[in-house]
Amino acid sequence: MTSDRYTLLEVSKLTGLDLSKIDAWIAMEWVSPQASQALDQEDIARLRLIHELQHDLGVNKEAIPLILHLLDQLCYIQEALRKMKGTSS
Amino acid sequence: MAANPYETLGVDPSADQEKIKSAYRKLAKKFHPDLNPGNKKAESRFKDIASAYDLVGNADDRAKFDRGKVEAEAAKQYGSRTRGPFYSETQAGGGRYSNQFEGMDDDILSSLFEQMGRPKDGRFQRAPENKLFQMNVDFKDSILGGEQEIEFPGGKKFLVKIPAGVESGTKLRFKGKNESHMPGAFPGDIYVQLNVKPSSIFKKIGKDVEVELSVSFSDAILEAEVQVPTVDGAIIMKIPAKVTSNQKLRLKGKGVLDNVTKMRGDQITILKIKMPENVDDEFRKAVEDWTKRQTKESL
Repeated sequence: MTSDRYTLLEVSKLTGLDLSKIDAWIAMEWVSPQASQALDQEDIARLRLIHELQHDLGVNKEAIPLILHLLDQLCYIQEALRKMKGTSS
Repeated sequence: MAANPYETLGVDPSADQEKIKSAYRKLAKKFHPDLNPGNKKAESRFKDIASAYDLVGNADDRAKFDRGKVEAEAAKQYGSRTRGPFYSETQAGGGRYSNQFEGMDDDILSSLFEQMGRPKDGRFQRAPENKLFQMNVDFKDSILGGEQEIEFPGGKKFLVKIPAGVESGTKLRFKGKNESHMPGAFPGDIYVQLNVKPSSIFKKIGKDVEVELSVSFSDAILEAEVQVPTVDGAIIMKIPAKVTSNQKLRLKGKGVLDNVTKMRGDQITILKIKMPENVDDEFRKAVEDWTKRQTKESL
């Protein structure tokens, strides 16, 4: 994964998302950049996912953090299983 | 994406925008790559669906497509625009967000593997087998708590701690106590279901205990001290003069023990006035005189 960092303004231009929306999602801790003005690819992909969940899939605001939490957990488990498979084979 | 976008979305070309949007949402929820991490088929299907929606998802684009101005083949493939990787792709190989669960392996993975019948080290084992046993509990123990021994098949004895205030039907879990003799099997859990034996004297009402007490006619009229049963044993209770039947007297702290507050509820003693079995002439005369006096007073 690339370690490039982007400012909020750059992210807004890159994704087409309103700056206020990005700010709000960071304030709600749906996205947690390592530094306040420096977002990486993980943060940007997460912002896009939140937008798609809300805008394209019609998921309501209350369900977003729950989906993100479960998705993070699922990714973690998949990675743990992958590592386990690697060590047992 | 060579397919017709309407076909891809599973809608009729005459469908209105709302129907197209609804069809897209339904399919996108099913095939979105972040909701199917690592599933390449789902990702490919989602890209087709998203590309189809790009063509007919709003009235202007749809009109262009319907007029033949935009060919389905010429439509930009979803993802070939400025879109970066899907979120789940950024977490593959250990991302910042998914790594927050690191150190919680025991909770997440153990529960997962327990359900799969496989331990954390990856070796397959048999799924654990749980067993349920029944245990009858005295009413007093269900109120105050206690201990009771139970013997499982095979002769193994177990001391069961009965929690104070326990309800009948409560199941206590003894994790991993059902040791299996099958090779490679996880120890299962033992559940002990507590069945509270009803009391002929006491009745549990929330945190209080109710008891009915027979009181003689004379004790009900005159002040008296009577023996009353409680879950702690019989005590002497003072009955004030001129009590009525069904009158309730409260005995503080003689009810159910609350495990949290460590306080006990009360005992509610309901008085039941017993008429004398033998009414002699003298008694009858006294009641008649009293009735006459009452009648005169009320006139």
